[in-house]
Amino acid sequence: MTRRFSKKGAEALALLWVVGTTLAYLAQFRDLLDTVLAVLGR
Amino acid sequence: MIGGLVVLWTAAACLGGGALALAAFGLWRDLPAGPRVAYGLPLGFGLLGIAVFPLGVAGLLTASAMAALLAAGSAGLWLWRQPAPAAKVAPAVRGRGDWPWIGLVSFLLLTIGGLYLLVAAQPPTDGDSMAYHFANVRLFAEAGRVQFIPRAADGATPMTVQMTYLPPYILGGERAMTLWSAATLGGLGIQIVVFLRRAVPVAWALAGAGVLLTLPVTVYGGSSGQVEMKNAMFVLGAAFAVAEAARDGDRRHALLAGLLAGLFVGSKYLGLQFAAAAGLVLILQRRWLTSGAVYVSGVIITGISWYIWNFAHTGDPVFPVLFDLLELPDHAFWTADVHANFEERFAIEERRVPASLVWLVLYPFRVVFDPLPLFEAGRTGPGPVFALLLPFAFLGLVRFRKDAAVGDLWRALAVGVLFYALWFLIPSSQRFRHMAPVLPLVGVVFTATAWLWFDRLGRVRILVLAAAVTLGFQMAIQGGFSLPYLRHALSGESRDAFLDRMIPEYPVVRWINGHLSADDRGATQLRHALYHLRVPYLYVQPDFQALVDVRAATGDVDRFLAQLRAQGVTHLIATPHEPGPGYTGMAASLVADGTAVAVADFDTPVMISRTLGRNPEAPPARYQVLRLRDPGAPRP
Repeated sequence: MTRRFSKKGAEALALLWVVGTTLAYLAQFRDLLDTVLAVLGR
Repeated sequence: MIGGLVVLWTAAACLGGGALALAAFGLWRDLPAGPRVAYGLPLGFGLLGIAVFPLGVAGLLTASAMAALLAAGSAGLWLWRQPAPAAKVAPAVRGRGDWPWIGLVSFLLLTIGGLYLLVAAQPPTDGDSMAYHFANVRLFAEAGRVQFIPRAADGATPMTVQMTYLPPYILGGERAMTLWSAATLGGLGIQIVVFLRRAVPVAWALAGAGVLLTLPVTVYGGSSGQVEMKNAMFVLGAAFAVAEAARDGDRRHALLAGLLAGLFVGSKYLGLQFAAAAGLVLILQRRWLTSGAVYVSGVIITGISWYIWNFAHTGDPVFPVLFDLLELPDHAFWTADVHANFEERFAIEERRVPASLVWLVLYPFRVVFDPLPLFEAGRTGPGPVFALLLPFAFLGLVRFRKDAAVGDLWRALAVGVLFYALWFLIPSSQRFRHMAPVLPLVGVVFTATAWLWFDRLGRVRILVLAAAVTLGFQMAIQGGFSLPYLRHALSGESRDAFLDRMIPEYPVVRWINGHLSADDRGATQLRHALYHLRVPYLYVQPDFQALVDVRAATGDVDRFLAQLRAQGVTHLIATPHEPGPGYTGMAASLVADGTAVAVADFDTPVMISRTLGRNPEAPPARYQVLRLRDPGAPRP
């Protein structure tokens, strides 16, 4: 029971890290996205 | 067609040359097939550069000499007849081939490789490659010999990697050279798979290669002449050779590590810091003295040639780093004033954060999540993968530290981390791409140890998610980067029209090529167009040379004119400006007093980037071609 919980907990934390890190990384490209959209809209 | 064949022949020569070198010190017969390639390919690649250099110095850059060299290297393929011992693969990952996944990832790898080759098959446009990686190679090939280029940073600098571009260029022309430069990424990919395969299943080794070959910084430079990912082959090979030498005390691996580290030394000054880092990790063993001596011998054998070349021409083997320390006298191309300016500009333009222990830790995180503009790590950074894997890699390294394969990963990682620390703490340029050669090494260690941890947890699907997100994002970037080249390949657009689109100042270059002759010489600061100039030129860089002193504060127009004439300059390419100091200011002074006359005017567009095209909101940049009147006449 404890082992299953710790595995599930580890998996949830790992998933949180992957999602959070990806979003934090992508946040720096907000300005670039505006530029890309402007270029595509030309 | 001929370009592709020359590339294949050059690859065969590298594979064969590496085999011959490994056999020469008795390592070949004991290596399984994978390490034969993972060590032999970078070794043969670097040794090709080492072999071309003396031929170039001797004025033997001819098709027959290049063909003889490739033939000699290819002869080493004969050694492959010798059966290789079986590879050591961890029991946990043996027989875990997952064919659908292997098929999918192999398809993605072929797509990645195809895109790199597609970009490389079009006329070259990368700025640094136009300034020197390819430009210097073209100068050497046309002169038939390697010449000393009296310019710091991109002229008088180690060029072992660029030497490998000469056989393809001389035998197959521009496209063979550009394809060869991109094809070397295939060698890096094979290395990544081989070293990952020691700890993870085949599908994961292939996926790791896919992720590491599409890092934004790799996409940015992979199809160009830039040397970072070529040096990554030396780093990866040397780090694992160090790990094996430190584990077993095998001096053959110590020599191999030294030879590979020396090839990095011979390709970039930064290689000196890497060689020091690898050497420090190597000597942390019982047989440190003999292994260390063997390692240093290897570094000297492959690393020293360009330092002798620089010493012979400048008196400074690490030109211009030791100019003050050696108290060298002023040269025509380097003076105490120019050196002081160089050091001052370097501190301002190449460094933004203190070389402190705090920033040593913070720098990688800033590079990934919030890079300063100087780091040049936004669109051309390391991507998210290292941050994604960091905690799991750490857990894996600690949890499995007693496994033999993980022990090697620890040692290899120590080489990479120490190299990074030496680079950061010894004042160097803080542009992130200088650390790009270490990324595949760190990526291999992180991927392997993170996989081990997730596999033990029984939750590899999280890693699948991270890999899929990263690979999808990075392949989208690679696809976007490749689009302008794909458009050219499919549209039948002319070379000139393509270069007009990709290099904003190319119309100026086209005019120069059409109106000047081999008897003229153009002075220019258009560094990212130098390769395409077909007439003699002088690159009047403001901070890296003194032949024509154009530092920002220099305003002595008489001296400027005398130096231009001493270099045989007949024309100048300059931006219209008010008379004053610096290159454009002094050029304007020559126009104002009638010494020079404008013979052509250009309005050129400003680019957002090669991928995103022109910036319609920015006013055009203006250039003029100026002709010096009455050579030899004094100024009015």
